[in-house]
This record gives sequence, C-alpha cells and structure tokens, in this order.
Amino acid sequence: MLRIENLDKYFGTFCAVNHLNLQIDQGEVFGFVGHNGAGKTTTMKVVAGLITASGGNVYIDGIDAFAEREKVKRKIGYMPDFFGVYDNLKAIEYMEFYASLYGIVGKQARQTCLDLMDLVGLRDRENYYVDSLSRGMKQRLCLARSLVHDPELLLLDEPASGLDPRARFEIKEILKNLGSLGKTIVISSHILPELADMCTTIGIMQSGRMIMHGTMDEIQMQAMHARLLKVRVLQDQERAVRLLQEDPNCRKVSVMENEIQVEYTGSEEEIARLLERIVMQRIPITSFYREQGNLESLFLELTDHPDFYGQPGPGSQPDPYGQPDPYGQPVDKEGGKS
Amino acid sequence: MNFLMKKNPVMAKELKLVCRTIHFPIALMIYGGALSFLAMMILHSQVDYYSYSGYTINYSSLLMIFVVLAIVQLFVGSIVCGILSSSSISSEREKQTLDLMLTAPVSPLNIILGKLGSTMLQMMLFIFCSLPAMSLGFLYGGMRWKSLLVFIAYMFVITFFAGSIGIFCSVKFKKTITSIVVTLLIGVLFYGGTCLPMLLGMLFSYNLSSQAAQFRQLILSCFLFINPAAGFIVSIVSNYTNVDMVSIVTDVAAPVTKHNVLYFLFDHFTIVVFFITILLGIGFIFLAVREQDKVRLVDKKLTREK
Repeated sequence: MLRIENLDKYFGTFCAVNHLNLQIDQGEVFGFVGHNGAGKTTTMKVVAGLITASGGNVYIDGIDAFAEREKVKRKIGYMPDFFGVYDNLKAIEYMEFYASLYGIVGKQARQTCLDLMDLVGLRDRENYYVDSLSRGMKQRLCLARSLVHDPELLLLDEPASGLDPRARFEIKEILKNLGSLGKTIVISSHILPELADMCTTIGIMQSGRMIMHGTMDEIQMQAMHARLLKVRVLQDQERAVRLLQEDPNCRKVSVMENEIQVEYTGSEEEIARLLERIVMQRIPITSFYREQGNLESLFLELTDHPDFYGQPGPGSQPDPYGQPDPYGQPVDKEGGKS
Repeated sequence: MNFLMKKNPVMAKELKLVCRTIHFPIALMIYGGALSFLAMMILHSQVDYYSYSGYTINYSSLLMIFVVLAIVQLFVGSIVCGILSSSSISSEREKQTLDLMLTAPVSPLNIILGKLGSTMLQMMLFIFCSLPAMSLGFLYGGMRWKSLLVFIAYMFVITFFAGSIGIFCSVKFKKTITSIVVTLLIGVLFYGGTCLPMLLGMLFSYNLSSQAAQFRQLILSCFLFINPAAGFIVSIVSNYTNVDMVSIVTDVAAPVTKHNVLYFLFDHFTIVVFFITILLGIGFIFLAVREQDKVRLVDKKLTREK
C-alpha cells in the first residue's frame, strides 16, 4: 500500500530523513515510533504531499506519489498533530466543508459526515461550534474529517497526544475499529507502549533513520533481549566483570554501586551457561537475575544512542559513538566501569 | 450554497464564516453611515455657500458628492480589500488549517480564487451599500447612469487588483502582519510611486519648451498607466469637468500628436489603465499560484530528474 524508497529530506544542511526505506502492506496498522525530532512528522508530511522530498520515491497503491500527486491525495487521509479548526463553524459544517473539498456535497455529504461523526462518537455534537468542543472531541472530529473521503491509507500524526487517559482510550478504540475495517493505518507516536496493542508492525526512527522495523512479535522479542542482566557478588567483583566481558553476548558491562549491570543479548540458555561459568570460577554470587523487560525500556535503550543501529547515509554526520552494528560484533568490551 | 460548495468550497466556507459574524453587518452599517454623513456634509456646505453668497444655487456643483465619495471609496476599498486578502492565506497557515486543505485534491488556484472571490464579494457588498449615497446626484439631475456603471466596474477591478496583491503577499509571507505591511507598501508604490516620476520631472524641468524635455516628461508620465487610481480618478473627474489626460499630457508634451501611439493610449487612458490593472491583478494571482504550488513543481522536477 505504501512503499518508501531511499527517502531523503534536508532542511538546509540538516538531514531530517535519511535514506528511509519502508513497506507497509494493505490492512496493516503501522506504528511509527521515535522521539521528538526523529523525522516521523516530516516523513508523513512528505507522503501527504505537504512538503517536498530531497530525494527518493514514495509509492501509494503502486502510484508514484511525486509524479501523480493529485491522484494519490484521494487515497490518503491525513490527520496532523494539531487541531486545524475554524471558530465559527459547527462540527457538521466543518465536516461538510472538508467533504466538499473532495467533491462530496449535498445530501451525500451530510449522510457521510453524520455516519463518521457517529463512528467517532460525536453524533450528538453535530450542531456544536467546533471551538466549543473539548480537546478529545476535537481530536475525534479531526479523525472523522480525515476519513471523509473514505481513504485507503490513513496517516495519523500523534493522534493521542495531549489527551487525558479516557480520551486516549477512546481514540485507541476507534483506531482499533478502523484497523478491523481493513484500512491501512500509519500512526506516529513517541511512546512505543501506546502503540503496542493496536499496531501490527512497528518502525522505530532515530535521527531520520529507521533503526528497527518489524512485527509486534519481533519487537516484543527484541524487548526481551534488551533487558539488563544484574549480578551481585560478595567479593571478587573485578574478576566477575572480566569474566562477563569475555562473553560474546555482553554488549556493555558497568558497575553501579555493588551491582554489575550487563547489556546482554543472549538467550535464556546462554544466560544459564554464563551463570554456570561464574559459579565454576568460585565467585560468590548473591544475586543473578534479568530485569523485567518492556517496550518502553527497549525504546529508551534504542533511542539512547544516536546512530547506533543505522548506517551513515550520504551527507550525514559521522557517528559520534563510532559503534558498529550491535547485531554483528559485540561492542564496548573495554567499557569496564562507567 | 450547494452549487458554490461544489464549484468553490473555499469561497462558500469563507462567505459563511464572514456573514456569520456580527462584525460584518456592523462594519457595513458604519461604512454606509460614514459615506452618507460625508454626502450630507458636502450637500450642506454647498447649499450654505449659495445661500450666504446670495447666488442662485448651481445644482451641477452637487455632483461633487459623487466625485468625492467615489475617490474616498477608491482608497478605502483598496486598503480594506488589500488588508482582508493579505491575511486570508497566512491566517489559515497560522490557524494550521492550510495543511488540511492542501492534503485535499483542491488546486492552489481554486484556493486562491476562493479567497480572492470572497474578499471581492465582501467589498462589492460595501460598494453596493454606498450606491444610495452615491446616487444623490440623480436627485438634482446632471448625473449619468454611465458614471455609476463605470464607477462599479472600476471598483470591481480595483478590488481585484488590491485583493490579488494581498493574496500574493499572504502566500509569500508566513506571518499575517508582514503580509499586510508588504501589501500596503506595494499599494503605495502603485498608487503613489508611479506618480513620482511625472511629478519629479515637472519639478526639476523648469523649461519644457525643448522637445527633448517634453519627450522625457511624456515618458515619465507613462508610469501612470500602471496606476489604477489615476485611471479611476481621471474617468470619474473627466465625466464632470473638462480635464482629461490628453489635455494634461499634450500641454506638456508636444511630441504627442494625433498620429502617435502614445496619443492613442493617453486618449483612451481610462480604458487602457482598466485593462492594465486587470493584467496586473492576473500577474499577481499567477505569482501567488506558483508560490502556493511549489510542492507540486518540486515534485515534478524530482520526477524529471529520475
């Protein structure tokens, strides 16, 4: 449904999107995650045709979005991360105005708009002025607006930002509902767990690059691996650290007070073997456990190191950490205490 | 409304938003009231003058009401239309509604024409409201229907011109305040700046007897062709006085003979300026559309490069 090939976007010399490649299939609910300034909104704006790309291709339903912009506009429903509202329009008039921009007028427009307001739970607010609606209601109205022409691809830029828990829940339910209707949805957020229960695939962006992309199960699996291994010993701490550093699955070893913290990428079996080796060396262990991992810690872990996973693209700054792909060689073996 | 929604939804929405506010009828009332008050003042001063001087009242002098009101409306209309249109696109940008509009398959030309059309319609409503005051001349005789129609046609073109400058600035500049200031500056340049060469020429050329000096003065006067106000004022004034552009220019410029192209242009000064004003307006709209359509143009360039 959406294919992005080597997309670049520069603002002057600043690279906002760097050689981005992405494929989203029909009916997929894709979560676009990254912290503020990662390039999510820029990518969405390029796809929606609001800003130009500096290079690359975007295909929507097989159509070149740059060559046939007018054609693809009918296939996209875009919801920005702000409420664009007019003070003196009623909710239904607001909807009808956007319907008319897509050539839907008269009774058909009225019926479509009422149905959509029903879908987002605003049917009883049709004659309220838009500026009198609450933030959550405005957000839902904006969502209904983006659906007015029945788009195949929905681009939702942080649809739940700034909402209270109740409104967030309502938006989530509506999006799940839309996902079940077979719409292809791209949702951006800077909170990975927020997207966990409604997205089928997730892409994590960092400094304009996609640092991780996969199904929700793959990401969950990665979250397991991203958990810290915590070891406490009674004595011989330095020997224990050396031993841990020798393990190829240890990415980074650091000592926090009396606790050794290890970024460990190995499986449960490998952890068991590691523990066995430490015990065999007669190092007295008082505790040895892997902390409970979650998506939030994975996200923080991934976005903690700029340029950690990606390969530098043309024009990008040299990697300040000088770290290679963590899936290849183990890194920071000399790290020791930090 | 459905027809307008289908043809130009932006214009339909703008008109709905404007007509819904209380400010619009109040502004209309103040405008009509101010013009009527001005007309009454002129009428009163003329009647007073004749009653005190003891002469029989010269009713043709009351046609002054029409001339003064027309010139006042020229400037008020230009300023108001310029300001209204110069905030139209930039205010959408500030309210963050422009992006929503641009994601829909509506062309930049349609957005711009919708904005310009609604501004012009608002302004024309003001002009039509002023017609009763403008038509006071009919009560005393001597006023021609043609003058009124020329006035309406010229005001239509003037609002189009001022509106298109405003729209261009509104697209070009992100902030509304910058857009308004630049619109007013461009307006001053067209209305006042184009008179400057001719006035400076008159000021510094004491001796216009030489053919070269007269020719230079003639060329400097040509800037008036891009001054919509000059065309308007000449058309209104020349209807009720003996002054016309040919007499003004030929007095100072002997090279203008009856066989000269310039003579023809100056002889049809008001019509020429009328059409040049339309062309200038179209030019500004073209520039605005180009500016608004940058994304598509860059997309095309990118596609060509591939």
